[in-house]
Amino acid sequence: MDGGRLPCGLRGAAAVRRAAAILAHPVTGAVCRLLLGGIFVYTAVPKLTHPAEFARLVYGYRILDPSLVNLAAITLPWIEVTAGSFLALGVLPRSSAAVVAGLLALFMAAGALALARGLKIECGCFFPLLTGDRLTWRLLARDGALFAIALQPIVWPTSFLGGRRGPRTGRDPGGNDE
Amino acid sequence: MSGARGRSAAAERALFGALAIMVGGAALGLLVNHFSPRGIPVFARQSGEKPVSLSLPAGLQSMTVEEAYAAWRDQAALFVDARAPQEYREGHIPGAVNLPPDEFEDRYPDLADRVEAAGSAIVYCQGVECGDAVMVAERLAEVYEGSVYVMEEGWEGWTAAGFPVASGERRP
Repeated sequence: MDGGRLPCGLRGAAAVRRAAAILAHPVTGAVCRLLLGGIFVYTAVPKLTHPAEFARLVYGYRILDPSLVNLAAITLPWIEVTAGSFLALGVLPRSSAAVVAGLLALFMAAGALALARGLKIECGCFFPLLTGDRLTWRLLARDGALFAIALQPIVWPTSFLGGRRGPRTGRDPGGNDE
Repeated sequence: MSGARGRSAAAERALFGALAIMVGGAALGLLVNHFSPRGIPVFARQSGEKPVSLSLPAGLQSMTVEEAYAAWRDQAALFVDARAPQEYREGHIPGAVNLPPDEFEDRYPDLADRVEAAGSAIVYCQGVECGDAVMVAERLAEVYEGSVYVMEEGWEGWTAAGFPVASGERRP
């Protein structure tokens, strides 16, 4: 047998195990939570302090009935800031990550629908006062990358200091997540 | 088996937590909006076939394109274009000054005399969905004695109505 060398299949399996170990590592979890939570809080604050302006951005997507536009503009940023701060702090990490992932999926669906209908509108992802971003497929791809990051705390939730909150096993039926 | 039950229970708890975050966040938003001076009505008005009239913050008044045209014809107000310089260059309401929100602090001192000389200002941006006109109108209302209006239907409403347009560089 050739000493340090493993057959190709085994080498691949070892690489997958290493990648899974890195993904599951508490430090990876803390980085993902802080990054995503921070982005959500940062982008929500201008929206919740300027509801009239944000309502116009929501209206621009032409998805909601106009009478419901204000309701969405009032509530969405506060859901974002609540979920984002919970995620960053590691409070209900799996639940807050699920809300963040759900919102990102919603934003991507709404954006894709708007682009498919040929609308030329502000993204509203980050506030126009800060970036003035036009809605583009590239911005939706960025949301897709953030969505992928949100899956990490859903699968391997960690608390604020990186303590493992799961996964649960048969010997830990109650678990301690949420 | 117990492991599967544990995972199922954890998923239920996570879903319940997610629901609580959404309901709690939404309730917080409604509460803050109710007491905030920048609060807006929970349900937007819609009148007839016209584009939606989203609410404006206190102190700002809405103006239709027809009313704005009458003011333009009578030279009764100064028009403020809150769009980007490039959009202004491609087409704007004749006589309008260009004042995007991110340039307000830099440009307003140079435009103050013209704005002050007019009895009222009508601010517009691209259309109903853009927030820049509201943002500029809010800043204007803080420093300007006259009335501030927002032409909510914006440039799109103005051009759709066939009213006069001009193009070219903005004045410094």
